[in-house]
Amino acid sequence: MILLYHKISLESPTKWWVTIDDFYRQMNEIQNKKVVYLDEYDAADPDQVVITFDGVYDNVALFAAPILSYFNFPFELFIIGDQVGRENVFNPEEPRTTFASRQLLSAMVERGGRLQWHSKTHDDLSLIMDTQQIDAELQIADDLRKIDPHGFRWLAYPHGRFSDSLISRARKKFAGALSCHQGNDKDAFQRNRVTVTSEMTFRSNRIAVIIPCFNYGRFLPEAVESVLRQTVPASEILIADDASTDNTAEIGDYFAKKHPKLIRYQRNETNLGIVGNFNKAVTATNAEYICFLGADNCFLSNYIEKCAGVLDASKNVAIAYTDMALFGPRAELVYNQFRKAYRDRVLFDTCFLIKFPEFSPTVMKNVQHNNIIHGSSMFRRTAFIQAGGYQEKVGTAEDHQLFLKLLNLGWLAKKVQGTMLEYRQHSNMQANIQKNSERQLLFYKARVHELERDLRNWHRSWTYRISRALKKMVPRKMKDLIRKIQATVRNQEMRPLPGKVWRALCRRLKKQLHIRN
Amino acid sequence: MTKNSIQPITDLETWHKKEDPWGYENHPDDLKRKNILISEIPKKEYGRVLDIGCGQGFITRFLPGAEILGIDISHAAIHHARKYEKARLKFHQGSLFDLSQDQEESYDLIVIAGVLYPQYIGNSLTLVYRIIDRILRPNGILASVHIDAWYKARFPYPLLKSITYDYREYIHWLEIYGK
Repeated sequence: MILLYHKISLESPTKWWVTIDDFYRQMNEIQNKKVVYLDEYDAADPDQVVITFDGVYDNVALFAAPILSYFNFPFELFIIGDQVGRENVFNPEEPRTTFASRQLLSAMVERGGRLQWHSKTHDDLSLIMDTQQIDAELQIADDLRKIDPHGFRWLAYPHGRFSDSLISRARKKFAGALSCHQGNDKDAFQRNRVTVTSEMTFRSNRIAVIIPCFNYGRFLPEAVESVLRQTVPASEILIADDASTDNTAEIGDYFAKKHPKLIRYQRNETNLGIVGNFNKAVTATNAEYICFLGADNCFLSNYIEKCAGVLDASKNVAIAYTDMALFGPRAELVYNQFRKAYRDRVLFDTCFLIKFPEFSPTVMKNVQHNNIIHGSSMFRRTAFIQAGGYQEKVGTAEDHQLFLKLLNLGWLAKKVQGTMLEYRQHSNMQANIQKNSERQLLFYKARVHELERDLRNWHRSWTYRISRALKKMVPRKMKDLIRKIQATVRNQEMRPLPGKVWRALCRRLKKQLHIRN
Repeated sequence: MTKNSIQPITDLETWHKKEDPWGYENHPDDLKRKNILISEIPKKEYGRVLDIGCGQGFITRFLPGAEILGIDISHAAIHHARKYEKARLKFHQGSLFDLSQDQEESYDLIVIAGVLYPQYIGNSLTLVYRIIDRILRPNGILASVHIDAWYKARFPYPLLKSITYDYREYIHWLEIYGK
């Protein structure tokens, strides 16, 4: 697969722009593929990916190059010789942007970019019959060639269009050539590419986050926000309310309404207990990767990115587990209960880090007695079904049971580097409620602010201003007229505007004028 | 596709032509937010300190640290901030994204206040996290202060403190992260 990008920027005004966050997500999704230069590319290998940019714009240097460096990906830059360092005036319908300068191109070459050729002027070369003119378009300027001694072996046809005569001229100067909407995998001079847009995903396994909640409404907003603010977003989020009697329903409903495509709120009418609620929740989702987040805990914002990355990388790993950061009133106490080898740094007496060992046969032997795999580890649905889900068993935690069973079935676990679960350690009930009411207060305060903002906007709106003005101007006779119009609309004798619109208008006017029926 | 909603840099330059355009220096809520931030930064010896989006230096000049640098995308803002410069306090014009280029410096404390809003950074938080991670030293502290309603970030570090308080007509979030 050869990917084609044009512009990477803060936002995506047209389909030629991919936002930085979407680009980052897409690079994440291909990180377990073999990303190669065109020179090494084997079209027959479905695991190989080439990342190409046409243009090349300065926003690629500013926003894409640091991300590509982070992933250590090689990339190909197809430049238009005459446009280097200039504004893209030749594309009048697009928002203005500038092509990368020689200096920026050179900086990108240092970061692993390779310069290639996208013609001298970007004219449609398939329409040109004169071979001399074609050759001039394919001629690379010496000063550009100097920037990248390894580059300029590949050509991207302007507008993706090529003719037989163009192919034969390209064969004389290049190792291969690319289109963007036609071509095949056989001929190196007719390679096709995938034009990537912001919405595209290369992820094959979707990710579900389940937030079970029993009377933890006061913590729920923080937990949900920590899932919403992930660097790689969840595909689905389920709030699984096990018949709470607190404000869980209100908060769950709020989030489900605010993010209808992403979040669902599901409530059990009777309390099913942990095992019943967890199994029901898994059934209600359909993603292959699943992780649970206690409603009183939080994910660091790279949690999904790192955990899904581990599962993506090895098909025989069913469980991706992480380190933990203990916080809350009892954090220190719990920290000291961990064996010494697992106790990591303490950050300013508030955050107590637990570092679990890597998974190994020795660890595997001890895992029965020494649980290093916490309940928020990410696991595969396939494995979960094979194990028969969570089981009720007296004396052991349901998640520990499940993970032991998966390991006994031959699945592997792997520790995820560079992320953590934030694990709240509650104190006694009294202090608990006191601390939490502050959280809850924020949630409601934020809602009040939202309503106030809506009210301010309404006061600024033209509808409001006009109705205010009308209220001042309209004499009693006008009010009678409005009543008449309303009556007409009601009787459906006359319908100059769609009924809905009239009724809404009349309602609003009526309200403003304090008219009662 | 997202609609074009990034505030042009010329807007900021126009604002910052004026000294203290938002009246921070005399507004009780701004004095409050300054005091809260300064008092909540964990007490320790900081070497190098960076204030991203420092504006005219309203917070920068009160930060702890041996060597403090304030950066802002607006030339006009930096022009005003420079009047506070002294041996341990410097101001440079530059954008957050310039820090990903050839920035070799790293910092013990990074402050980022009122910067990570969609009208300034669009959809780019993932890159912001990478940039900050590259320049924040191990065991470093990151303090982020933003208006709750517009703030969608959460840095990939454990949260040491998160504090909310009323600020003008908004709610302010102060987060202290430990790397």
